[in-house]
Amino acid sequence: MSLLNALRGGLAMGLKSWRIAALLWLMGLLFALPAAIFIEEAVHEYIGSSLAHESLRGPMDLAWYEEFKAEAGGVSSMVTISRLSPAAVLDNLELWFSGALFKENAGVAALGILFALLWTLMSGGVLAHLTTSGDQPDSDSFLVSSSRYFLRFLRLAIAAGLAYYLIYRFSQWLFPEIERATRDVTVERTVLLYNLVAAAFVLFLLVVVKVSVDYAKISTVVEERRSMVLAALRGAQFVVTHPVRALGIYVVMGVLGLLLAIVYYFATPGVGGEGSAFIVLALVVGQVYLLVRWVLRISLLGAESLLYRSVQGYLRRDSSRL
Amino acid sequence: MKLVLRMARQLGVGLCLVWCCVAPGPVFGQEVEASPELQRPSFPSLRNANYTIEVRLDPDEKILEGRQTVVWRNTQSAATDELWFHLYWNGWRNSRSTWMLEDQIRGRSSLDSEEEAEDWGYLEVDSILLLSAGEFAGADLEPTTRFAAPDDGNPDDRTVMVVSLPFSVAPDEEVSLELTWRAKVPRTFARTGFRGNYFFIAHWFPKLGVFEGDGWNCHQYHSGTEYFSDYGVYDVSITLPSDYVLGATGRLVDSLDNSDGSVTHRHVQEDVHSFTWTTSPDYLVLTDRFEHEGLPSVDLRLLIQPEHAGQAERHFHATKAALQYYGTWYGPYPYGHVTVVDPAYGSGAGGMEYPTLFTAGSRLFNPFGGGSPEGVTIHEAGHQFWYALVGNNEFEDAWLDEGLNTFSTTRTYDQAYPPKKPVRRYFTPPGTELRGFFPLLLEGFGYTGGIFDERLGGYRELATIDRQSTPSYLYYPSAGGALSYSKTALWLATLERYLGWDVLQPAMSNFFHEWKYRHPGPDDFFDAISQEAGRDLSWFFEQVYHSSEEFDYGVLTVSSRPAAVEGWISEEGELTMATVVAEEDGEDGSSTDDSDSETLYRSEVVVRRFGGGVFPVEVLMVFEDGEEVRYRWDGRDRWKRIVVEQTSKLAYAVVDPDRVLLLDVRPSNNSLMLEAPDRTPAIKWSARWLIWLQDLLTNFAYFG
Repeated sequence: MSLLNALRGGLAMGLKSWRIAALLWLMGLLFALPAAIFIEEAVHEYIGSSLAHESLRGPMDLAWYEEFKAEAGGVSSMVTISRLSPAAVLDNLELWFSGALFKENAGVAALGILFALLWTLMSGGVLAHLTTSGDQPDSDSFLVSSSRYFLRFLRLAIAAGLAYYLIYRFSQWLFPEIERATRDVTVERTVLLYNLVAAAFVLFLLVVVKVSVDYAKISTVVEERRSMVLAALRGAQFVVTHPVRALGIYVVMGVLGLLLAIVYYFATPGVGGEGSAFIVLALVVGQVYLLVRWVLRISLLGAESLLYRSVQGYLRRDSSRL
Repeated sequence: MKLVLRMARQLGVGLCLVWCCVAPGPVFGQEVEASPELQRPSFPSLRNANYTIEVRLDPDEKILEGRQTVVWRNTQSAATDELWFHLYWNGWRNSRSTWMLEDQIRGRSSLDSEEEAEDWGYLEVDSILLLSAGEFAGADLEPTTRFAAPDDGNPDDRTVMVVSLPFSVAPDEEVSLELTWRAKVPRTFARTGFRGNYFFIAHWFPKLGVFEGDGWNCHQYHSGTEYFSDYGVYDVSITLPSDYVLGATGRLVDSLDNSDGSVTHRHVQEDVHSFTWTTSPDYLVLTDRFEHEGLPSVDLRLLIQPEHAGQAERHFHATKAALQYYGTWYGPYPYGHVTVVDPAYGSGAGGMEYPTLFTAGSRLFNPFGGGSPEGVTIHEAGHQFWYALVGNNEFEDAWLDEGLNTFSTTRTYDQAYPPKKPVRRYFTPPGTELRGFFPLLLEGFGYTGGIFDERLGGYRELATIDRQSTPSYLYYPSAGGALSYSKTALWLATLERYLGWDVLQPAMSNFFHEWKYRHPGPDDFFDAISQEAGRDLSWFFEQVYHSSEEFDYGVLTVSSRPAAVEGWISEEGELTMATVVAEEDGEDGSSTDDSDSETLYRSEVVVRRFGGGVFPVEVLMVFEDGEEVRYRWDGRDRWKRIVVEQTSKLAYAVVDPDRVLLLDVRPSNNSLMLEAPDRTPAIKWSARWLIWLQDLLTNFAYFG
């Protein structure tokens, strides 16, 4: 199966699986909502009955914000102006890239890990659905599949986590080395180029691990594997033997994700807007963006599973059974 | 070699004489009368510390070799038999210097990290000869030298060198010395040093302290403070490789090609208290001219990094803005020329001032509207007024230049540019000291309360850490920014609102004119303000300068109820238990039927003084019918109850509604509405934050 066909098929599956995407979106919302409510309460309490209430309806007054930050602790300390703006998407990428994610707030990092665990649970159901006929999922089979593969995927997630950690340590060595090696370079463009190349390499490593994990999961579901060591090796082998298509799917989906983020950045109402309509619109646009992200995530898995099954001959067997 | 140099000097003098005739600006030893059309001022500094320096830079070895003649005149009424010199570069000699130890406390240097050998610097004096001192002429004074540590007694600190003279220098007498020295250029520490083939050379030669009659004012080099020295004439010849571009204090009067392929550039500048230079083969040199009606024109020379060439006009515009507004508000810039330096990437040399030369600093990507490089350019150009011309002691009273300049910078920026937008930088390589490469202007955020609010955040954090009157070099390291820059700017802005700009501006202008080319102290500034204001402001300066109290006024409670008296009421001589609701009568004051009466509301506001600082404030009460009542409170007591009876309920109350007291560390508690507002703003901002958190969690699933 060509890269293009796999992508087309994956996107079609992603769109057809909008209910699963909605479920995942809902899970994310439920996870994030308590913290957001805490923030709402903290902000409301700090505004109190002061006239800041009026000034904060429109653009954010930075003097008020700085005062709030000075007093804020815990989760409230994670409120930054860039996270209140459409640039929040970039902030998240920066958090991952700079390695600050796990240092900034243990609570939010823990929440993220919990959510990753939830995804590990649900990805079994997602993959089981994608690797069957692709019709609308039966909730029972979805849950059965989720629980069926959870422990296996958990072991895989731990192994992936270790690989990510090694890459993180490598990047913590690599970039300071570049900084040291360029300490006599007086042209920012040159230093930027070195760092971009290094970042591309680190990103490549991350993508290889990530894609290998995806194929390991697909292999587990399609071939009913028990050993996650063998599944991981299988996934890595698949990437190595079909690098262009395996990684190409991810790159294209990545570009689509980037385009989505750009559309969101320009489509979402500016933070200076006043009135309930602006609030609702910003919230709705944001949730649509997040929902489409889930559709893309499922589409990615769909495309990968199509490619894997096609290459391994499972698609022909499935067709003949049908 | 000596012959060559002597001939070069003679040639230079000759050229100088020619220059005197044709150059539009002032030259060595000459006071220039202002031509009526240009209104160019004269230069009346004491010129009691004059330097003639020859220096050669070896860019490969990072070594300076220098020879200097120092002519010092005793302008005090007491004699001295010592000369105290600053050897600033010994602050980076090793890990035991006072500068390095203090920098570690600030968290900027880590003595655990291994510096490479070439990173350290030093300034070693090889010889000191006495010149023109009668029987003592030619005496070798090097054996008489000792190092002093007058501030902290650190025996390992080598930044103050004391030379003992075989005689006393009486008042108004001169002494001349010739020093030879070597200096190792460090990798940039405090904005001085090298990076690759880029060199920024500041405070690089043995430099006299200031004799104040009762002793020498010559502090050790501290991490958090700057400099102090006397005015004089600098005649400096710098030998460099021929392909290196030079920027320096003063005007270029001569360039001589040497037989070894190097070039010696001679710069001269009168009436300055320091000399700084920079060199690199990579500089792009651009020129412009500042012209503004009523102010002398100034030649601008910009040394800019080629990758920032597209930002050249921004540098010029900001420099001109500073020259225009500072010149108009305080007094004209007299030197006729200024060099603007855009330092090399990563050099750490940005954002610093030197006489007739300053560094700005930019990035490859620097969108207009974020305040850079405009803000730093205005600020450092502004230091030509507060620091270069008015030469305060930066060791002890850093606020006198930094604070006045920060205040002036904020005003100038506000005049010349639209409000700044915050900038967030992305792509910060992990584990490094680098700042993100890609900037993004954030729309929808701003200091809606006023231009000085941007200084409040930094001040608030350290408001009570120390009194401003503590000598700056004794501040806790890292407190200088809050106290010298932000606090001063805020109390100056407060004075502006309290007295009016029409009082503050002439006061500062008078101070400028009175103290340019001299060394003012804090009281000189306070006197200038009080004099122009025509009143005693000691109560204000006592608090903002001599104490570390913070200011914080707030509205504690508001209430508004129908005015009623409840309890025992005396009626027609008898006591009755009753509740009487007051009403406002009809127009003629007589009691009529109910339709002409309106319920009278008794509105009560309790305001508090939460902080230790005292300042007279107004309390504004706004009623539902739009009526306003203003109450003037002297702000002395810890709390005050204000009662007003109106026919309308109170809507809200504000203490200091016009934000006169910009030092108030918590403006958010300055107002209170009677009715609890809805949750709209809290929902608005938390909903935005929710999207961020959801997006973050989604990313976790992308890697799982």
